[in-house]
Amino acid sequence: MKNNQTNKARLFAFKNFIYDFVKVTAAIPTFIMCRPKYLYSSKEAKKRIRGGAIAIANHNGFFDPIALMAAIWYRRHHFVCLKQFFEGKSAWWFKQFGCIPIDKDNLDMESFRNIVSHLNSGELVTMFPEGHISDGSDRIDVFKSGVVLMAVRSRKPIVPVYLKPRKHWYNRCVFAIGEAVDVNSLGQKQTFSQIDAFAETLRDKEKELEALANIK
Amino acid sequence: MQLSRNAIYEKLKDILISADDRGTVDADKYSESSKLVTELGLTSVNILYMVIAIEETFGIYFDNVGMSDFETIGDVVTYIEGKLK
Repeated sequence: MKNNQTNKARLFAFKNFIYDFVKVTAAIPTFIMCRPKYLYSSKEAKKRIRGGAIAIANHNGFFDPIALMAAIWYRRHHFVCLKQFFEGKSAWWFKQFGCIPIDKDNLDMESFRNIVSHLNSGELVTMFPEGHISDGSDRIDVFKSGVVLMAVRSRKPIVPVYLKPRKHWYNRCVFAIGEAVDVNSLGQKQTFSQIDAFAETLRDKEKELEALANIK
Repeated sequence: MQLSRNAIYEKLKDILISADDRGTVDADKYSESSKLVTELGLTSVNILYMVIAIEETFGIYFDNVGMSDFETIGDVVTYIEGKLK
């Protein structure tokens, strides 16, 4: 009962008011514009993401966070974004949207602890592990291994999502969603190579989803 | 926990040697003056991993540190030494 109250309190927390208000008002125009098409790698991938998890996706452009909010519409996303966005007037909006600042070239402990804390509170942290917007070649770049370290530290799964680039603004948004990847196979102590190899495994999963999205 | 500078260095070296299985640096090449990024080839994620392992081994809490805060192994040893005092 107490747990239910906690979840209810979290669901209707005032700090999320702006996020929820914008999300609800933008939902209908976004869904009309996107006409999302959901593809799943398996039956398991169709299951809704519950509790703390990391969602990762390829990065085609500035529209991607909105596309991801449409792809996993039933959860509040905490986007990991460049700390430069938190400077100036836009900072307020990024804070209201629960974004987490990060220095992609110099991952620091504060950002890392912040992300792990969100994950341990059962929230969904969403990031683009390539660390930059695609150069337009549609090639999925090497993933930064920080995402693996965050998942290992929090013992939370990683859900790969592929956002198919749209050639024209009127094309449908195609989202390919994969099965949650468990990091527990890495064990308690990892080596640098294991962490890098796991990041490469995630990239392979993303490529599989890319193939799925391109077939259908 | 009171540890000599040498004991801290040895423990830190063990952490790095056990984690760094890439084979790019020989174990006997490690010294206090070894540069983390340029000589040992550590990335910001590797340094973060090292910091987490240090916290667990020495029972200390690092303040907000990043890749640019430590240049050499000796800098890390000095930081741990300061935290253990």
